Amino acid sequence: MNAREPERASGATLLVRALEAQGVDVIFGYPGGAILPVYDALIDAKLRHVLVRHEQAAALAANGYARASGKVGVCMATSGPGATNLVTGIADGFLDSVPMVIITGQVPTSLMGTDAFQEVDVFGMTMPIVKHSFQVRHAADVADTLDEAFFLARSGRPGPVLVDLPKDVGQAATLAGPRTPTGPQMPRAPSPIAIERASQLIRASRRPLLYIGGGVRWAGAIDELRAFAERSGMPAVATLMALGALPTDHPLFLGMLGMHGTRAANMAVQSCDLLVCAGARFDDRATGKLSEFAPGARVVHLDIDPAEVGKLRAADVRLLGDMRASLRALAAPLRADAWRDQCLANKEEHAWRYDAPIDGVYAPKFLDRLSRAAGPDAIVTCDVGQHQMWVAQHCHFARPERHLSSGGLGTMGFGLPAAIGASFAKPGALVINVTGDGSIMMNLQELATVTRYGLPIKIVLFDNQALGMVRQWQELFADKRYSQIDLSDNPDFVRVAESFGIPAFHVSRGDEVDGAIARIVSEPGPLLAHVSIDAGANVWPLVPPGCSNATMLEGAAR
Amino acid sequence: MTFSLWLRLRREEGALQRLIGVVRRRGYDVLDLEAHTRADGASMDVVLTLESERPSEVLERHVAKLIEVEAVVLTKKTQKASAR
Repeated sequence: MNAREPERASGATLLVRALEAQGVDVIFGYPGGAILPVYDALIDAKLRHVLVRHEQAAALAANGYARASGKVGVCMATSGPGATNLVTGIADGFLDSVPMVIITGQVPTSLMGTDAFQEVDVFGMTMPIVKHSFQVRHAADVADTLDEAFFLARSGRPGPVLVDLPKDVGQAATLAGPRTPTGPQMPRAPSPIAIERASQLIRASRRPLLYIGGGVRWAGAIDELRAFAERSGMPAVATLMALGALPTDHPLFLGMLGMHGTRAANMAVQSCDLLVCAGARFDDRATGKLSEFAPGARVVHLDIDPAEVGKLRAADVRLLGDMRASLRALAAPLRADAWRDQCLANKEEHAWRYDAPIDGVYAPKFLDRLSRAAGPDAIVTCDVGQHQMWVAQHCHFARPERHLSSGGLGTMGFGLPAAIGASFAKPGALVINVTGDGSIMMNLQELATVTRYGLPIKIVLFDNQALGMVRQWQELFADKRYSQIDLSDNPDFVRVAESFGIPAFHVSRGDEVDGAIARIVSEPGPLLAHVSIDAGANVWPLVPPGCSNATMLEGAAR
Repeated sequence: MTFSLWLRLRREEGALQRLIGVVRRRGYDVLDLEAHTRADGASMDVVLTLESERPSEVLERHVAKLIEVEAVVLTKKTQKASAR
C-alpha cells in the first residue's frame, strides 16, 4: 500500500503513531484492563515504554523527563486506580508549569456513567490540575486530539494535558491517512509602549533588583536573561524554580529569596525600589507576608501568562508575551553602583559558612562539596523537606534544568521517579537524587525500575530518623509539641537497596564524607549512600510563616 | 463586590464544569448563572453574576485562559454586596 493512502487502523494504533509523530521517544506507564488496546499497539511501536512499579512514579518520571529535557513528558495508566494514582504527578506538573501529556484508559463508552469496574471520572477529577483535558469519543478523533494535547501542553505557559481514552475507542478501527502535527504557538511580541514604560522605570531606579522565576526557563529565555543581567549590572535573586537561571556562582546572583532564602537576597528585596520580575508569581514561600514584600518597590512584571500579572501584587508595568524579546528590548544602563556594591557586600558578609565544629555529617557542607565534585553538568533531583532546602541553598547550579525540585506542590516522593525521568532524558548524565528518610519511602518501589533499566542514578539519602521539616516547625512554632514525626523505626536502607540489586553504603562520620563523595561521582551504575545526620539539625535561615522576609531566624549549625 | 461576566463558550465536553470550577477555586461566589446554547449548536453564551472580595479583573484573566472560552467581557461592577 502507498504510505500516503489512508489505511484502517485502531484508535490505539493511531494514538501510538501520533505519539511517534510528535517525536516522543519514551513514555512512562503501567498497564491495566482499559488501556490494554494501547499496550497492544505499543508492541509494534518505535518508542520506548518504561514500566514503573506505581502509576504515581509514571507521572513523576514523565514530569522529571520534561523538566530535564524541555520536551513534553508522556505517561500512561489504566482507568480507575491507575488514573487516580497519576493525580499527584499531574498536580505537581500543573503547579510547576511542566509540559506533560497524560493518557488514561477509560471503561468502554457504553459503560461510562454506570459505576463500572475500575470506572472513575478522571476527566472531571483532574480538571483543576490540568491545562486542558479531552475525552475521546471516536477513533477518528484520536490523532487530532493527541496533536492538540501536545500543542496545548507546550504553548504559552506549559502544563499537563490529559487524554482519556475509552477502551472501545482504542479498539475501534477507522480510516486514517498520513498527518503532519503542528508545532507550539509562538508567543506574541511585547507591547512597545510597555517596553518603553518599563525602560523608563529601570532608568529612573536607583535600587533595582531582578526577581527571577521558573517561567524564564520555560520561555527559553535563559540566554536573554543572563545578557540583560550582565548588560545592566542589576543584582538578582531567584525562586526555587529558577535556581541556575543565573549560575549560582555568578557575581550578580544574591541567592534564593523567601522562607529559606539567603540574607543577601531577602535584604535586597526588602530594600529595592524596583523589582523586575521575570517569570515569577509572587508565591507565598517567596514573598513571606505579601503586604510587606518589597515594600518600597515598583514592579515591572514579565510573564507569558496574563493571569499571573497582578494576581497577588499589582504591577506598574505588565510585559506580556515573548519574554526573550522583552528582555532583549529593556533598557539596561543603570546608575545603581552604590546599590550593587551594597548588595554584593551583604552577599559576602552573609556567605554560607561550613566551619562549624560538628562531629558527624553536616548536610549543607556535604551538599556543597558533592555539588562541586559532581560538576556543573550534573542533574540533582530532590524530594521535599529539609534536604530540599539544603540542596537549594548549598548546591551549585549552572542551568535550571539541572535542578529538579517539586516547588509548587511540594511532593514527597518526587525525587526518585524524577531522577528516572531525567536519566532517560539525558543518558550519560550524572543524575543524583538527594532524598530524606521520609521521602524515599514514598516511592521506594522505584528502586526496582532503577535496577531493571540499569540507570546509573546516585541516591544520597539523608537520614535524621524523623520528618525533619515538620519536626523543625513543631520545635519552633508549636512549642516543641512533637506530633507524628518519629521515623526511628526506619528499615536498614543499605540492605533495602542491596535487596533491589543496588550497591549501598552507610556514612555517619565527618571523616567518611570525602570517600563517600568520591564514590558517588565516580562509581558506574546505581548507588545509594545512606547518610546519617543529626536528628536536631534545622534549616537556616528561616522566615516564620506569615512574617515579612525581613524577619529571618537563625540557629546553630548541627 | 458584585460583578457580571459575559462569556462565549465553545460547547465541548466539560466546558461549563471547567468554567464554574475556576470561578469557585479562585474564590468567587456564584449569585446567578444563565447559559444558552446558540443557534449554531457549537457554542453557548453564559452570564455569571459573581461576588467576591477579590478583584474581578483577576478572574476575568483566569477564565480567559480556558481553552473553550472564545470571549469574555466584564460588566456591571458594583461595590456594594448584594442581599442574599
